[in-house]
Parts: sequence; C-alpha cells; structure tokens
Amino acid sequence: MNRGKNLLWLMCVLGAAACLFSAGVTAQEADMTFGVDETEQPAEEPVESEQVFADEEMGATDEDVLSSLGIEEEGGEAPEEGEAAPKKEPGVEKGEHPIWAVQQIYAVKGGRFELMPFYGISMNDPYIVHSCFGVGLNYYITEVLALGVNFLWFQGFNADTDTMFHVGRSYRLAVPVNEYQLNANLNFSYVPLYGKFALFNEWIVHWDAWIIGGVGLMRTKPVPMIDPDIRSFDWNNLLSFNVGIGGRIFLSRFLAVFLEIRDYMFMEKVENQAVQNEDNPNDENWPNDSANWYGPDVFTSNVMVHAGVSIFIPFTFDYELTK
Amino acid sequence: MSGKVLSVASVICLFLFIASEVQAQEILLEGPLAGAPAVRKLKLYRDGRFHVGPAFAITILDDYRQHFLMGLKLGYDFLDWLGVGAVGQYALGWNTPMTDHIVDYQNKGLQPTTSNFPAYTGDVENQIGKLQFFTAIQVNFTPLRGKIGLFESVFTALDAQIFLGLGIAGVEERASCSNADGRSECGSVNRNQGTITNVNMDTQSRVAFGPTFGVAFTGYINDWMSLAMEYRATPFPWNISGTDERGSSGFEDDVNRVPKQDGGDFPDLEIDSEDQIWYFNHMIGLSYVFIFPLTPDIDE
Repeated sequence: MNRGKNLLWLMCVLGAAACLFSAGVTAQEADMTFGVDETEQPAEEPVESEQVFADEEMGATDEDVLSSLGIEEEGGEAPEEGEAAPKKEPGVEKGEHPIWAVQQIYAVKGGRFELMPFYGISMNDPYIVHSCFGVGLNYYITEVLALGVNFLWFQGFNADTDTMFHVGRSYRLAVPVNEYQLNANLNFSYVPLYGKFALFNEWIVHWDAWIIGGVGLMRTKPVPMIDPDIRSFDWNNLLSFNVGIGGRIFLSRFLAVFLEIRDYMFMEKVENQAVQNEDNPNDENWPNDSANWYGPDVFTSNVMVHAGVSIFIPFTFDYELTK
Repeated sequence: MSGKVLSVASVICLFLFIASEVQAQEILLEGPLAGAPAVRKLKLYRDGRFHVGPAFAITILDDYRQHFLMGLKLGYDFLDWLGVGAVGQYALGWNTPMTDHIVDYQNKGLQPTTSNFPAYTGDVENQIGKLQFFTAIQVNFTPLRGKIGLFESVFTALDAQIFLGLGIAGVEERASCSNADGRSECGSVNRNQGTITNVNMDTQSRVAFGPTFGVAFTGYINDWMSLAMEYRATPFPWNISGTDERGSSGFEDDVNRVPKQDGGDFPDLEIDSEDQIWYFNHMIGLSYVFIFPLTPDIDE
C-alpha cells in the first residue's frame, strides 16, 4: 500500500513538472519579468542583440560579423597599416560572443492540418466562366512539405461570357464549349518562401508562398452547340494534372487568407464541329450516330484563381526550442 | 490527443474562438517590447532616391489579341512610402487562340453575309483592335516593408506597393464607317443578290485615356538594384473586336431590317464610338531598376 502511495505521489510530481515545463512554452512567450520602471526607462546599455540582428539582415554593416568575432578571439590583432581598425561591436568585450535574438516562426505548420475552403474562378476561357466552390485539406509533414487533397464543385456555376455572344452574333460562328462538374485532386505542396512585412513600421505581417502539384479526376461534358437538336452528352471522367503557386497572409497563429493560381490540365472531349459525313454527305444516319458526336480530344489548360481562408488544426502549437 | 480532438470539434465555434483570443503580435501589446517599433535601423531604399530601368509587360485575359510591351520605368520617392513614377512602353501583338480559330474558318470560306455586315469584314486579323503603345503617370504608395527568405538560405528585402494614376494608350482600331440610312461607307451591300463588295478595311489610330492602378512587389538585389513584379489594370473603352456591337435598340423597319439609331445594345450598321466596349486591360509586368544615389539612408 505504502509503495503504491509513494508511486502515486511520484507520478503526480512528475506529471506536474512536465506540465510546468512543456505546457508553458509557446512561441513568443518570453519567460521574463520586467518591472514597470524598467520598461519605461531607457536601458543603461544599448540593446545590441536585436539591433545587431536587424543590421545584419538589412546589410547595414560593412564587415562580416563572423570575421570580427575571429579577430576578437585571436586576441585582437592590430590592423595592418592603411587598413581601418575593425569595428568593435558596442558593449561586446574582447573574447565575448554577442547574442542575437531570433524571432520564432509565427505560425508553425509542421504536424498540423490545414483546412482551406475557397472560391475559384477560371481565367483563360473566353467563352464560359467556370466558377466553383471548393475545399482543400493538407497535412504538413514538415514545416515546408505538405500532402493533401482538394475538391472543386463547378456544376451550376458555369456561365456564358459576353464574348461568346458577340462572336456568335458577329461572325455567325458556333464554338464548341464544355461544362464542368467537379474536380478532385491529390496534391503535394512545398513552401520555399517565408517572409514578413512591416505595416507602417508598426505591425508585422507574416506570410509565405508555396508551389503545388498533383493529379486527379475531372468531370466535364460538351454543351451541344453545333447540332443541339440531335446531340446530347453525358459527363466524362478525365485524368487531370495540376500545378500552381499560392501565397497566404497569417491573421493569427491558426488563421490565414490565401490566393492561389492553379493550372488544371486534361484532354478535353469536345463536340464534333462536323454535322455531316464529309466523305458521304448523303449519309442520313451519320448525324444520329452518337459515335460521331465527339471530335478529336483537345488539350485543355484551365487556369483557375482560388481565394479563401486557411484554418490550421490544432489551433495552438508548442514551439520546441533547440537545445 | 484529447487536445487535438477538442480542436477539431471546435471548428464550428471558430469565430467565437477568435473573439476570445488575443490576436497576433501580443508581444507588441504587452510585455517588454510594448510600444517598440517593428524594425530598428531600417534601410530606406526609396527615401529621396531616383529609380530608372527597363520595364516589360504582357497583357493577360485577352479575347482577340495579346500584347508584349517593352520600355522604360522611372520615378522619384519623396518618402520611403510615397513617390511618383512613370512608365513608357511600346507594344507588339499576336492573335489569341480564339482569333486563330476564327481565321481558320475564314480560310475555309467563312465570309460576311448581308445579315452580319458590317460587323464582320471577312478579314478578322485586320479589323481587330491593336495596342500600339502604353504610358502611365502614377503615384506609388508603399505601405508594406519586409523581407523574404527563399529556401531558408537566401534572404532579401521585399516591399509591396500600390499605385494609382493615369494611363495613356495608343490603339489602332477599325476606321469609323456607316451603312445606315442608305450609306455604303463600310461596303456595298446588295441584298437582292446577297453580295458584299468594296469592303472598307481602313484602320485609324487614336489615344485612349483611363485610370491605371495595381500592385507591385519589389525585391532588392543590393542597395542600388531591384527587381519588381507588378499587376496593372488600365480600363478604357475601345473596339477591340472591330465589330458592330451597339447603337440600336431594334428595327424601325422589320421588313427591310432598318435599325433604329437610338443608342441601344444592338448593331446599328455603323462602326463608331458606340461600339467601343470597356475592357480592364490587365497586364503583368517585370522591371529591373537602378536606384540613385547608390547608398540608401538608414533609419534610427
């Protein structure tokens, strides 16, 4: 019984210690205490760490920091004649290494899911605007690599453009057009770019950009334009590939808005522009044969713009400090 | 695991969760850095400096003709976030796939008829509008200053601009003509025989004005060179298709198909300013600029 109680107490103590040391460490949560007077009064010595880091990033200093550290470590060799004395980091004594404050990543992505509801619209079809509502789900295997799926629903949101009306009226030319139903894809994403903006030097906005590629299923069907009295079409399942780029701005540690340009490529089945057998114009059965309703497949590049929000799940994360 | 399950279950209450949380930048609102600026020792890449360099652009979302523009970009920034600029570019163009599709059928025998003339002349490549040059005078506003990391190894300064100004475009369109009220300026139409002869293929150049606006991202290669990518829109009306699109609300004589001349949305047998339709004229541009003086100031 006593052994059990001791074991229980030990587990409680260990559990409490684990909670104290792990649950309390989150990004940008400094374990420091400052009195009100300390924050209002200027520091006795200038705050070099962040300042030096900002200088180095912006390239304001002329000398290489590592070489300046080397000079100090070697005992401060005297500069050669005609050579300017190496600049000494203010407040850094001989033999000491300055410490730079490095801001932690604002929104850690690794190990989190990303839910992306969005609205999309086609950009390069002069005859029909293909709008869609969609959703994407990604899992970030690492901070920069993600695996995910996305689904786009077009049916009911395809609309004729004014150009199609004008071309038909002015040139008396019927153009084969297609209606889209849905598109589902498996995607890989890579995030090579990470950056931040200072808004009026008051607020910092974090953003990143990705490249994406994948493979999926596209369902489309021709709209009978050439011979609408006879022809009717059903949905076709087509293999599609996609590549794209996108960028997002973080509104919080789990919420971002994004804009993405994605090119969905597939071999489209289009309506046959011939209405009779060109070899035998008197063939009356030719127009009614459904095998003659499709023309040659056409490579289609459907460039879409997606705009939506990114919701990272779980909403919070623990930032693991390097040891 | 329980935390993740709770997070997934709380998606429905997302907005309530947002309202109850302290949002981004809490360290700037509380703690030892409260009131501190976002950046110290900021390099002022634009303040009091001139910039000049080659500028290239390509029009996008074109219906009939796509254009490539090349020219020069220059400007001066009074402040690090405010400046003025100008762009001057010459345009080269080519047919879009849609125009090529019409040309294919034109070559197969698609000719104008008495029902669609003067909208279609039989030579679509000649009748469509063409961009000849483009210039812009604009105000540049730079609210966002920052930096970018590429592959976590290459870092550079990056800023985002918004610009607004006046766009001036030189366009070549189908020359004005009229076949209304018995005239034959566009061509001679014989409705009895169904023939069209002496088709007027003249074009005319004019200068179109419109607002120009967009956004640009500038990455700084070093203190005096930068690479900028921009999106620009310059909406103005022009007859890009060279067709008869507007001017009439219907026929005053249904038998002889004589249209009314009352400014409606139907063809009126005239090619004129009423057929000029508003287009957004989107462009994507790339410029490589040199900045003078060579050394920027550094903020406190």
